[in-house]
Amino acid sequence: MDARALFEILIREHTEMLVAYLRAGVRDRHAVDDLYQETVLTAWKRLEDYDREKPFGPWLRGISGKLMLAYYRKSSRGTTPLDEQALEWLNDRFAAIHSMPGDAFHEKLVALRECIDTLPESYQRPIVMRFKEERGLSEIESLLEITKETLKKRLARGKLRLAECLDRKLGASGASL
Amino acid sequence: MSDPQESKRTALHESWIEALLISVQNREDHSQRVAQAMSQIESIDDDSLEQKKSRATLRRRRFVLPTFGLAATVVFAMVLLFPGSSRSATAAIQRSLDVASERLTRKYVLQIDYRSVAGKSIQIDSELYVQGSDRFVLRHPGLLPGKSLWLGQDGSESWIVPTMGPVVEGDSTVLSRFLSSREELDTPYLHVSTVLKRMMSRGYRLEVLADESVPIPSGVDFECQHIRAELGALGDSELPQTIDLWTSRGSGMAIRLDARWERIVGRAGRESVVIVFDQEEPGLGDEWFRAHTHVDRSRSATDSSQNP
Repeated sequence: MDARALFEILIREHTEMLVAYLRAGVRDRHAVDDLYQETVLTAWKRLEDYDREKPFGPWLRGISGKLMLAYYRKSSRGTTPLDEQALEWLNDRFAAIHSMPGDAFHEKLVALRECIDTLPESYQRPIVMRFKEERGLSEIESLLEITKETLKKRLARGKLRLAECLDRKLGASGASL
Repeated sequence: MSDPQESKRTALHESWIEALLISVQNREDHSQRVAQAMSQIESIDDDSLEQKKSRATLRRRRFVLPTFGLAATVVFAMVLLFPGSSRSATAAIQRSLDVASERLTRKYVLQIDYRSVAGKSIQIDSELYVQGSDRFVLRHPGLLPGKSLWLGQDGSESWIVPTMGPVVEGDSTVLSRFLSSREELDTPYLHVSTVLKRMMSRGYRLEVLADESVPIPSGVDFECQHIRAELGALGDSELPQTIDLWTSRGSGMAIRLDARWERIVGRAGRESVVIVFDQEEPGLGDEWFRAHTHVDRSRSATDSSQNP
């Protein structure tokens, strides 16, 4: 098997994690796609720099982290939501998820499923409807008979509760923000 | 902790959890992403191989160069300047993709040709509005006069405003489910960027053809570079057999895209999707790409047809 075929296997194994990592740092879908392509291309060009004794995932995240910072530097937005400290925080969380049991990235997210189950009903329903049932915001509003503002608040608070719960379960206490 | 820091922390927590909530469902197929990345790598590797070959050829011929004279020098220069048709084609498509990613609203005419189950060849023209690579609106002529079907994507959600009935909103599966139920619209190629990305994907052979002058509906002609992507023998039969791109020599903008399928005689299905640039639409902002804008439009069209 040649180097390119081996590299493709590694990329396939890590794509789910890499896309989630990019999504956590950049909210624009198009930018996530572009940064994914750029990360893989850069990784291939710099494959000689990769230390085979170390895991591939963190090395890939190192490349994509630098590319995300460059993306924010180039973009004309006034505020930059991502910096070195935020990246370190994210890396700690992804490393903690990686240490969880399971082969594929989504299999390692059992702790998140448990956190969803423990959410109060008022936060759990909107989260489940939005992310599991993939319903649109207006549909959820009418099904739950709540206003757009209330829905947005519940989704935001639900996500923050999940973040706190997951942090506790992962024991990811390394970097803080 | 100051407020900006707190809001930054909150935003990061939210986006982190949101990314994980999408992953935990495991509904995404990443194979297209991986294939596109590997195709780029393959094309870069092929190009660098071609460049090495070109340099080797030049080194071998250096000693006999004077005997060829000026004509031969020009040929060698061409080899060095244009090391591969594939490379120029990839660069032209990439340039078009970059232009298509700009946050400008452009209007295209979308023509879908398909063969119905009854064997009838039908052509349907729709208006296509695109902004960047993740927003589009398609106005499709309805079956009843004065009524249009609107569908689109606003960057985060996909939506359908049917001629009658409730508005449907959701993720991209909402659109694909709807499109697959409409034989005349059953195509994923409803966006300029989608077609351009498909041209760059694995399985297509790229070729630069002679430049052409391409007319657009308003009567203006564009001087265009012509790139053809042809599906290899082992390609998926659901993919277009050929995709032709005419890209403006000046701006790099995609002026015309023709995607053609190889159909088995007597079998129903789409035969071609043609997207032709019509005009810039600077007056149409972000709202144009949201469903509610077209709900009103759809309703008013309904009212006017009921009360002529």
